[in-house]
Amino acid sequence: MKQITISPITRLEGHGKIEIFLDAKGNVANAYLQVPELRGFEQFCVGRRAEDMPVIVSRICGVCPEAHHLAATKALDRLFAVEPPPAAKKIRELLYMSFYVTDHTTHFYALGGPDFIVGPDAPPAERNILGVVRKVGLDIGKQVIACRARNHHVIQMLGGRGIHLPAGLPGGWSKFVSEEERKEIEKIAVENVAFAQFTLQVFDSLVLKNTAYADLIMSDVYCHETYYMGTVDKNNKSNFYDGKIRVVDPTGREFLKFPAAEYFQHISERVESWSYLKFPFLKQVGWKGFTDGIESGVYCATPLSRLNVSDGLATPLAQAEFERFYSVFGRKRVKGRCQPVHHRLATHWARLIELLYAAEHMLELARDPEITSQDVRRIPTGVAGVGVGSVEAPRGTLIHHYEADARGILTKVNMVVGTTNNHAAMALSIKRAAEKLIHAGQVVEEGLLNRIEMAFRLYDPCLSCATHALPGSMPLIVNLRNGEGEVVRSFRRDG
Amino acid sequence: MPKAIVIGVGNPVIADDALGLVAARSVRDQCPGGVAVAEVFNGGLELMEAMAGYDRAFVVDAIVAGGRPGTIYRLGIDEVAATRNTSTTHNGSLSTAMELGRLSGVKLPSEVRFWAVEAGDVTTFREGLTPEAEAAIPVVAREIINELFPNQSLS
Repeated sequence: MKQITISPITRLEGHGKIEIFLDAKGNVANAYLQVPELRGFEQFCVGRRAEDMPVIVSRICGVCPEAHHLAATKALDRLFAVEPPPAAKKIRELLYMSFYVTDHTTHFYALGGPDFIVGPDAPPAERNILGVVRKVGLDIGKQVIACRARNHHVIQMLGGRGIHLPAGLPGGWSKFVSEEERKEIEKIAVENVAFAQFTLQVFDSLVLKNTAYADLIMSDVYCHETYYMGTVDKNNKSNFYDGKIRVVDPTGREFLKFPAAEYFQHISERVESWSYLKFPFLKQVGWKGFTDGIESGVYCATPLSRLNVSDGLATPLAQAEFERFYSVFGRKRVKGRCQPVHHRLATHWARLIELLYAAEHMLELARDPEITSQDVRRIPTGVAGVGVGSVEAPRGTLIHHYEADARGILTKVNMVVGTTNNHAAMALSIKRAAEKLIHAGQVVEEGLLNRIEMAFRLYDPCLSCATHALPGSMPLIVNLRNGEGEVVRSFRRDG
Repeated sequence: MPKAIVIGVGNPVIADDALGLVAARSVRDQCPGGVAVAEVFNGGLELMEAMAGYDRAFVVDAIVAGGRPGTIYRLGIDEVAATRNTSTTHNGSLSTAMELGRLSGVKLPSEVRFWAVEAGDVTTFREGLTPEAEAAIPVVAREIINELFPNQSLS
């Protein structure tokens, strides 16, 4: 069957497709990353029992089912107006920290890190985790696999299953943590902290101490002065599981702080004729086009954003890295918070600081005496009718909004997924990368695909809040379109 | 006896994207003596991890290759894993994952075979396959059972 060509085929047409629109002079007017559009999720859910949502939504996405599961479970707490016992919240958060460790680890070693560790101009075939292994050493591959395995084990222990978790319930969690499990999780968390520290050392020695890479991170190619969004606790420290959503302006001033339920009062979605994507923006600032600055409502919700909106991180080792991060960029503290870092490639570093925070916080929770409490569920007694729940998914603020009738049957379902928040911001970065290489219709082909790929990869976009990748390859396609929308050039790399 | 696993890859609520899962369950239900069956969401690292510890792995997945929906492609690991692209959705390609596993001392199957079925619809949230994909399931399941138990005739 050799004649079957698998390599350029993806599960969904549109994966990784970049559209670049040129103006009449042949310069870049707009650019965006096209992601597959999936249909019918609301219709799929309406008419079902609300309490089924945590299980249903964990099937939406193969990359971050835990994030969807928890956002849904939190939405149900509200929908059924029931406050979970403290231990249940802590178990949810413990599971979530373990998930964050695997997710951020995987992104760094398999996707984001290779751009730097192997090199931004290395051939795509080498810019992968094997290239990292070649550069850093064989042991790192074993460590990544071991890190994933031990944290999957934790997720299975706490969540009842490795995938499609069944444990989240309105008002709590379906199982408590035994002392034996707690001890095992504590040991794993200790290993995670050491691994996160090691990973930051790798980043330090191979990226930050490499002048060429450090210059690339600091350059203006991927620098946009936008608003930033992230969730903070009552002390204004970053929190992935719970808190208020905070937005800061490009100077670092707090612009908004609101509970997830008010999200739709603050965010609108821009629709453009040339894309089926929706581009969320801040209502109070308004849509001023694909541009950055304090007058533009474009915002960003990523690991970098979460650091930018926070007064700090709640664990000591991560806090030290947080301070160092802002000091390297020469940012000062103003009114308790550091001035924002706008250099988007620094998102990779921010992600590793979050990795360390997640590992440390996992350890704190594993050592919390309350974590083994058997009081993990409050039984709901009524239906409030509306429930909004949010978490910080690794790739941005994730919000689930449900409405149900008096029987608890769903009448409305809406969600904003992490990647969606960043559609406009990603378009800015892709546009900027393209502008450097396209002038008056002349295209510098060398490096175009790599630079564009780096631009969207730093956001860790989930291109598939629905589908897994076909085992094999995903092509990167860049279409150049003229003012009439006709494709004038097309670039493609099949791996 | 070599240890074998049947792995269905897919999303259970995206129409034909679920066909790998449906086929894997069909194999499980027809093998009362028991067979290891796993359901995974992703290619790449997750798929490699699901194979760890087995001698033979039979993978069923949906594919969009431009053929007639329901078409069954029977592929070896080399045909599926011929490319090394960094750009899969979250953690890289299967070939990269397999090589990483081998380098890292993970015991991986010596025999890995794929049944890829052309999907008709992979963009709509719904349970249930298109008739074309549905029709391919018994064929795939039968072929896998014949691989698992070559000398037995299961009804």
